[in-house]
Amino acid sequence: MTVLVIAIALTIPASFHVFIKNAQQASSTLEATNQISLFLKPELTNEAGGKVAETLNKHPQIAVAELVTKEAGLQQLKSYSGFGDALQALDFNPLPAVVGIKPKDSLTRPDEVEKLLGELRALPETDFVQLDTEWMHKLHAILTIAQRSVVVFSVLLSLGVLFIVGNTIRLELQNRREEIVVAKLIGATDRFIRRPFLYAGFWYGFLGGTLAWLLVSFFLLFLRGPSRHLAELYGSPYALSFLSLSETELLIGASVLLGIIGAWIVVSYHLRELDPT
Amino acid sequence: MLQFINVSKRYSDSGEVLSNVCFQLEKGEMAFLTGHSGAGKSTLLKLIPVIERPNRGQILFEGKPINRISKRQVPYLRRQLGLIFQDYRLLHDRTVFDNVALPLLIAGFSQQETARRVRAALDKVGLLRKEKRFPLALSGGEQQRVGIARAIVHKPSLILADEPTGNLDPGLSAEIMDLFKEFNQVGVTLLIASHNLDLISRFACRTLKLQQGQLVEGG
Repeated sequence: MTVLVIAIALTIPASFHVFIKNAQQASSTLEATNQISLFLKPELTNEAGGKVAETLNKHPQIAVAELVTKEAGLQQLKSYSGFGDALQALDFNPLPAVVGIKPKDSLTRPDEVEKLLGELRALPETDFVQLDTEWMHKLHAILTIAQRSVVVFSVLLSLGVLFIVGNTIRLELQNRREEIVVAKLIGATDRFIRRPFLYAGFWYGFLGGTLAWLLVSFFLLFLRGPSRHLAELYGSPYALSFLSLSETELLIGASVLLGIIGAWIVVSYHLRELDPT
Repeated sequence: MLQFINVSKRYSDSGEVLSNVCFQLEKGEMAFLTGHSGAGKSTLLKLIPVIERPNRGQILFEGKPINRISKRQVPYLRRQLGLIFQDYRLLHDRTVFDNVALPLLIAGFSQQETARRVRAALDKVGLLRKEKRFPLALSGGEQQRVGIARAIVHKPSLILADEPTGNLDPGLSAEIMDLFKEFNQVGVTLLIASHNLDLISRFACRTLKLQQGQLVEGG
């Protein structure tokens, strides 16, 4: 019972942490597919567009710049949007030529991206520039907030674990009251009396932490299928990551420590009132 | 071995329970402590294992003033004593063997040495064949014998018994007292509180008599 409550209390922040960690990793792999769309002025021909793409390909911060001609754009729109029939009715192609730009992978800092965008906007051929990944930065900001709240949750729920262990040990102490009084009468030191309770605290912590680890792992297994599907939709090779070895050690270690500390506090506190009189 | 010098004990609710008690107990002596209930017998016995501390005076145990020892030293003092209670104070969820083994477990004896000593103690009180029983399966007299075995198993230098026969009929009481006499004959020091004067009179032992907190005889 105690073990289960400890496990649940620890599963909540641990799984929340894993969730955020995965979201961060996922967003950074997606960020590698940062895409800038440079819409050329409508009057520009495909040939002029091709020249722009050629120049941009030489830019030090750009990995690939590729021209999507007016016709190709229309073709894509027809096949993706389902507006095929409606577009058929148009007697001219309203779409501009677009240069799809993929920046170098090293370009990750928002201010650097901003600088590149400024350069692109300043080109005489540019109608407007669109960065497809602005929402990613917002997501990052949200994730940072979430990460902070994991810390708060962890502290609160750790206190919870401390109280659960403490309370269980307190009940156990009460059950063995007579035994403790007799042991004290015949010369047991406080350390001797405390020892079995500290062992109990250790086991509660260890089993609770291990069960929490199992629960988090099951939770991740449960999410693996859908997340892989989601990653495929984004064309990302991303795979869900589980708790690392050091995170597992931290989870179980912290749980054990909380168990022992909880037991220690309660036993030390109650030993004073169990003095025989 | 044990010396009380002008010892007084006062409780805030019941006033002075012991006043200026002075006496000395020699090594190898067996003495009775008598008096009406409320005369302070139990309080006096509680001062020796430092369950209570005196307000005034000094208590010397083997030359050391035990009224001033620190809390951390109390367990080690208690290991030199054998305590026997009126209500036996046995652990009902442990066998006779485990009850008797408790002082040795606390003192950290090896398993072999523990088993040897426990069986020797149980043999002395005549309960060797009941070591696997639980205390509640035994008669009152047998339970007190377990209590006595537990008090002697670690070979204490002084045995303190507080009304050890208080819950037993005269026949069993006499048997318990005979057992104490046997221990005394092999050199064990005993201080036994009892208000059963008939029983005490059968032994030629010093008797300390308490009356309203004052030692009026045998001091």
